[in-house]
Amino acid sequence: MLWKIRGCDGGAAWLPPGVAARFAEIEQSTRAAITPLTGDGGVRYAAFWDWLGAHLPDEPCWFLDLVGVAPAAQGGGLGRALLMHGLQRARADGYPAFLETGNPRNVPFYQSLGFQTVAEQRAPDGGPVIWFMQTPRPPSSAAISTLWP
Amino acid sequence: MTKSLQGWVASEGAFELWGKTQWAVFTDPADWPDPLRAGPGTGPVLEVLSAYDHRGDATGTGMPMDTGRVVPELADLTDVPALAVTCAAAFRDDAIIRWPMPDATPAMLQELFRVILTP
Repeated sequence: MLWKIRGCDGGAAWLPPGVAARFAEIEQSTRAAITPLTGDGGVRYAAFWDWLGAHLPDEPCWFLDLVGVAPAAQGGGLGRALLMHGLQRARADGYPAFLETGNPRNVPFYQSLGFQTVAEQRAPDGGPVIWFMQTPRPPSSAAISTLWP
Repeated sequence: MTKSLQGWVASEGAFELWGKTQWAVFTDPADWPDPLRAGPGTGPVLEVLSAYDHRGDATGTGMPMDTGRVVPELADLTDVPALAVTCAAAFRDDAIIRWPMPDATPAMLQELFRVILTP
Protein backbone atom coordinates (compact mmCIF):
# COMPACT_ATOMS: atom_id res chain seq x y z
CA MET A 1 0.00 0.00 0.00
CA LEU A 2 1.54 3.26 -1.15
CA TRP A 3 0.62 6.37 0.80
CA LYS A 4 1.39 9.98 0.04
CA ILE A 5 1.13 13.06 2.18
CA ARG A 6 0.80 16.80 1.45
CA GLY A 7 0.77 16.29 -2.26
CA CYS A 8 3.80 14.09 -2.79
CA ASP A 9 6.08 15.75 -0.25
CA GLY A 10 6.28 12.39 1.46
CA GLY A 11 5.47 8.81 0.77
CA ALA A 12 5.44 5.46 2.52
CA ALA A 13 5.10 1.92 1.26
CA TRP A 14 3.56 -0.30 3.92
CA LEU A 15 3.22 -3.97 3.08
CA PRO A 16 0.43 -5.77 4.94
CA PRO A 17 1.23 -9.26 6.25
CA GLY A 18 0.07 -11.18 3.17
CA VAL A 19 2.23 -9.02 0.90
CA ALA A 20 5.18 -8.80 3.30
CA ALA A 21 5.36 -12.59 3.26
CA ARG A 22 6.03 -12.37 -0.48
CA PHE A 23 8.60 -9.59 -0.13
CA ALA A 24 11.50 -11.61 -1.53
CA GLU A 25 9.47 -12.60 -4.57
CA ILE A 26 8.28 -9.02 -5.15
CA GLU A 27 11.74 -7.53 -4.65
CA GLN A 28 13.33 -10.01 -7.02
CA SER A 29 10.77 -9.18 -9.69
CA THR A 30 12.16 -5.62 -9.81
CA ARG A 31 15.81 -6.61 -10.32
CA ALA A 32 15.78 -6.87 -14.08
CA ALA A 33 14.83 -3.21 -14.27
CA ILE A 34 17.26 -2.18 -11.53
CA THR A 35 20.35 -4.07 -12.68
CA PRO A 36 21.13 -1.61 -15.52
CA LEU A 37 21.22 1.17 -12.91
CA THR A 38 24.08 -0.50 -11.03
CA GLY A 39 27.72 -0.42 -11.96
CA ASP A 40 28.45 -4.11 -11.50
CA GLY A 41 25.63 -5.88 -13.26
CA GLY A 42 23.55 -5.89 -10.08
CA VAL A 43 25.86 -8.22 -8.12
CA ARG A 44 26.20 -6.07 -5.01
CA TYR A 45 22.54 -5.04 -5.14
CA ALA A 46 21.35 -8.64 -5.34
CA ALA A 47 23.60 -9.85 -2.52
CA PHE A 48 22.62 -6.96 -0.28
CA TRP A 49 18.88 -7.31 -0.82
CA ASP A 50 19.01 -11.08 -0.47
CA TRP A 51 20.64 -10.50 2.92
CA LEU A 52 18.08 -7.85 3.93
CA GLY A 53 15.16 -9.99 2.81
CA ALA A 54 16.40 -12.89 4.91
CA HIS A 55 15.96 -10.77 8.04
CA LEU A 56 12.21 -10.30 7.71
CA PRO A 57 10.47 -11.91 10.67
CA ASP A 58 8.81 -15.27 10.15
CA GLU A 59 5.70 -14.14 12.01
CA PRO A 60 3.14 -12.07 10.11
CA CYS A 61 3.78 -8.35 10.34
CA TRP A 62 3.18 -5.05 8.60
CA PHE A 63 6.46 -4.19 6.86
CA LEU A 64 7.52 -0.60 6.29
CA ASP A 65 9.24 -1.06 2.95
CA LEU A 66 10.18 2.61 2.75
CA VAL A 67 9.25 6.04 4.02
CA GLY A 68 10.67 9.20 2.55
CA VAL A 69 10.07 12.92 2.90
CA ALA A 70 11.48 15.56 0.56
CA PRO A 71 14.44 17.31 2.24
CA ALA A 72 12.71 20.70 2.11
CA ALA A 73 9.68 19.25 3.92
CA GLN A 74 11.57 17.32 6.59
CA GLY A 75 11.07 18.25 10.23
CA GLY A 76 7.40 19.05 9.76
CA GLY A 77 5.89 15.83 11.04
CA LEU A 78 5.13 14.28 7.66
CA GLY A 79 7.28 11.22 8.28
CA ARG A 80 5.76 10.71 11.69
CA ALA A 81 2.26 10.98 10.23
CA LEU A 82 3.10 8.39 7.56
CA LEU A 83 4.56 6.08 10.20
CA MET A 84 1.64 6.41 12.56
CA HIS A 85 -0.80 5.81 9.74
CA GLY A 86 0.68 2.39 9.10
CA LEU A 87 1.19 1.63 12.77
CA GLN A 88 -2.46 2.26 13.45
CA ARG A 89 -3.38 -0.24 10.75
CA ALA A 90 -0.96 -2.80 12.12
CA ARG A 91 -2.39 -2.37 15.60
CA ALA A 92 -5.93 -2.60 14.33
CA ASP A 93 -5.03 -5.84 12.54
CA GLY A 94 -3.32 -7.18 15.65
CA TYR A 95 0.13 -7.46 14.03
CA PRO A 96 3.52 -5.98 14.89
CA ALA A 97 5.25 -3.65 12.45
CA PHE A 98 8.78 -4.15 11.13
CA LEU A 99 11.35 -2.01 9.36
CA GLU A 100 15.01 -1.94 8.35
CA THR A 101 17.12 1.20 8.47
CA GLY A 102 20.72 1.99 7.70
CA ASN A 103 20.57 5.49 9.14
CA PRO A 104 21.55 5.65 12.83
CA ARG A 105 19.92 9.08 13.16
CA ASN A 106 16.55 7.48 12.44
CA VAL A 107 16.81 4.85 15.15
CA PRO A 108 15.71 7.14 18.02
CA PHE A 109 12.90 8.47 15.83
CA TYR A 110 11.58 4.97 15.22
CA GLN A 111 12.02 4.14 18.89
CA SER A 112 9.83 7.13 19.76
CA LEU A 113 7.08 5.48 17.75
CA GLY A 114 7.32 2.18 19.59
CA PHE A 115 9.86 0.29 17.49
CA GLN A 116 12.52 -1.70 19.29
CA THR A 117 15.80 -2.85 17.76
CA VAL A 118 15.69 -6.62 17.35
CA ALA A 119 19.03 -6.90 15.55
CA GLU A 120 21.91 -4.62 14.57
CA GLN A 121 24.18 -6.21 12.01
CA ARG A 122 26.72 -5.18 9.44
CA ALA A 123 25.86 -6.26 5.93
CA PRO A 124 28.25 -8.74 4.30
CA ASP A 125 31.30 -7.66 2.30
CA GLY A 126 31.86 -4.49 4.29
CA GLY A 127 28.33 -3.20 3.85
CA PRO A 128 26.59 -0.74 6.16
CA VAL A 129 25.27 -1.45 9.63
CA ILE A 130 21.54 -2.12 9.46
CA TRP A 131 19.08 -1.85 12.32
CA PHE A 132 16.15 -4.25 12.21
CA MET A 133 13.31 -2.86 14.28
CA GLN A 134 9.93 -4.16 15.29
CA THR A 135 7.00 -3.03 17.41
CA PRO A 136 5.65 -5.36 20.08
CA ARG A 137 2.75 -7.52 19.05
CA PRO A 138 -0.44 -5.65 20.04
CA PRO A 139 -2.30 -7.26 22.93
CA SER A 140 -5.04 -9.62 21.86
CA SER A 141 -8.68 -8.86 22.55
CA ALA A 142 -8.60 -11.46 25.29
CA ALA A 143 -5.67 -9.73 26.95
CA ILE A 144 -7.40 -6.37 26.77
CA SER A 145 -10.60 -7.77 28.24
CA THR A 146 -8.64 -8.80 31.32
CA LEU A 147 -7.69 -5.15 31.74
CA TRP A 148 -11.29 -4.10 31.26
CA PRO A 149 -13.46 -6.91 32.56
CA MET B 1 -20.94 6.59 28.38
CA THR B 2 -20.07 8.12 31.72
CA LYS B 3 -18.65 4.82 33.00
CA SER B 4 -16.51 4.50 29.92
CA LEU B 5 -15.23 8.06 30.02
CA GLN B 6 -14.60 7.90 33.73
CA GLY B 7 -12.68 4.69 33.10
CA TRP B 8 -10.46 6.57 30.69
CA VAL B 9 -9.80 9.36 33.18
CA ALA B 10 -8.89 6.83 35.84
CA SER B 11 -6.75 4.68 33.57
CA GLU B 12 -3.05 4.96 32.95
CA GLY B 13 -3.26 2.93 29.76
CA ALA B 14 -2.88 4.09 26.19
CA PHE B 15 -5.93 5.41 24.41
CA GLU B 16 -6.15 2.49 22.02
CA LEU B 17 -6.16 -0.02 24.86
CA TRP B 18 -8.95 1.84 26.56
CA GLY B 19 -10.95 2.20 23.37
CA LYS B 20 -10.87 -1.33 22.03
CA THR B 21 -13.41 -2.82 24.38
CA GLN B 22 -15.25 0.30 25.37
CA TRP B 23 -17.59 0.87 22.46
CA ALA B 24 -20.44 -1.18 23.89
CA VAL B 25 -20.07 0.52 27.26
CA PHE B 26 -19.73 3.94 25.68
CA THR B 27 -22.88 3.54 23.61
CA ASP B 28 -25.05 1.88 26.25
CA PRO B 29 -28.22 4.03 26.27
CA ALA B 30 -28.84 3.15 29.90
CA ASP B 31 -25.65 4.97 30.77
CA TRP B 32 -26.24 8.11 28.73
CA PRO B 33 -25.94 11.12 30.98
CA ASP B 34 -28.90 13.40 31.25
CA PRO B 35 -27.23 16.41 29.63
CA LEU B 36 -26.64 14.39 26.46
CA ARG B 37 -30.24 13.25 26.32
CA ALA B 38 -31.44 16.76 26.91
CA GLY B 39 -29.00 18.43 24.55
CA PRO B 40 -26.00 20.65 25.30
CA GLY B 41 -25.31 21.19 28.96
CA THR B 42 -22.61 21.34 31.56
CA GLY B 43 -23.15 17.98 33.24
CA PRO B 44 -20.90 14.95 33.62
CA VAL B 45 -20.07 14.53 29.95
CA LEU B 46 -18.55 17.98 29.75
CA GLU B 47 -16.78 17.47 33.04
CA VAL B 48 -15.33 14.14 31.97
CA LEU B 49 -14.29 15.37 28.54
CA SER B 50 -12.69 18.43 30.10
CA ALA B 51 -10.79 16.18 32.47
CA TYR B 52 -9.62 14.09 29.54
CA ASP B 53 -8.46 17.15 27.63
CA HIS B 54 -6.70 18.52 30.69
CA ARG B 55 -4.97 15.20 31.33
CA GLY B 56 -3.80 14.96 27.75
CA ASP B 57 -2.37 18.45 27.85
CA ALA B 58 -0.74 17.91 31.20
CA THR B 59 0.92 14.59 30.58
CA GLY B 60 1.21 14.23 26.85
CA THR B 61 0.08 10.62 27.11
CA GLY B 62 -2.32 8.88 24.81
CA MET B 63 -2.53 8.59 21.05
CA PRO B 64 -2.27 11.95 19.29
CA MET B 65 -5.52 12.69 17.53
CA ASP B 66 -3.98 15.04 14.98
CA THR B 67 -0.82 13.86 13.30
CA GLY B 68 0.59 17.14 12.13
CA ARG B 69 -2.68 18.37 10.61
CA VAL B 70 -1.94 16.44 7.44
CA VAL B 71 -3.35 13.04 6.71
CA PRO B 72 -1.80 10.45 4.41
CA GLU B 73 -3.78 9.53 1.34
CA LEU B 74 -3.63 6.40 -0.72
CA ALA B 75 -1.41 7.04 -3.73
CA ASP B 76 -2.00 5.69 -7.20
CA LEU B 77 0.03 5.15 -10.35
CA THR B 78 -0.15 8.80 -11.33
CA ASP B 79 1.65 9.72 -8.10
CA VAL B 80 4.60 7.40 -8.68
CA PRO B 81 6.78 9.83 -10.71
CA ALA B 82 6.48 12.59 -8.10
CA LEU B 83 7.00 10.15 -5.23
CA ALA B 84 10.06 8.76 -7.01
CA VAL B 85 11.55 12.27 -7.08
CA THR B 86 10.74 12.73 -3.38
CA CYS B 87 12.26 9.40 -2.39
CA ALA B 88 15.37 9.87 -4.55
CA ALA B 89 16.04 13.14 -2.75
CA ALA B 90 15.17 11.73 0.67
CA PHE B 91 17.40 8.67 0.27
CA ARG B 92 20.30 10.30 -1.58
CA ASP B 93 22.64 9.65 1.36
CA ASP B 94 20.93 6.59 2.84
CA ALA B 95 23.16 3.56 3.22
CA ILE B 96 20.48 1.04 2.22
CA ILE B 97 20.10 2.74 -1.13
CA ARG B 98 23.61 4.06 -1.75
CA TRP B 99 25.77 1.14 -0.71
CA PRO B 100 24.49 -1.25 -3.40
CA MET B 101 24.50 1.58 -5.96
CA PRO B 102 27.41 3.86 -5.03
CA ASP B 103 27.70 5.49 -8.43
CA ALA B 104 24.01 6.11 -9.05
CA THR B 105 23.14 9.60 -10.25
CA PRO B 106 20.02 11.44 -9.04
CA ALA B 107 18.27 10.42 -12.26
CA MET B 108 19.20 6.79 -11.66
CA LEU B 109 17.88 6.96 -8.11
CA GLN B 110 14.61 8.38 -9.41
CA GLU B 111 14.37 5.50 -11.84
CA LEU B 112 15.14 3.06 -9.01
CA PHE B 113 12.24 4.40 -6.95
CA ARG B 114 9.95 4.51 -9.96
CA VAL B 115 10.56 0.77 -10.34
CA ILE B 116 10.22 0.04 -6.62
CA LEU B 117 7.06 2.08 -6.17
CA THR B 118 5.23 0.84 -9.24
CA PRO B 119 2.83 -1.90 -8.15
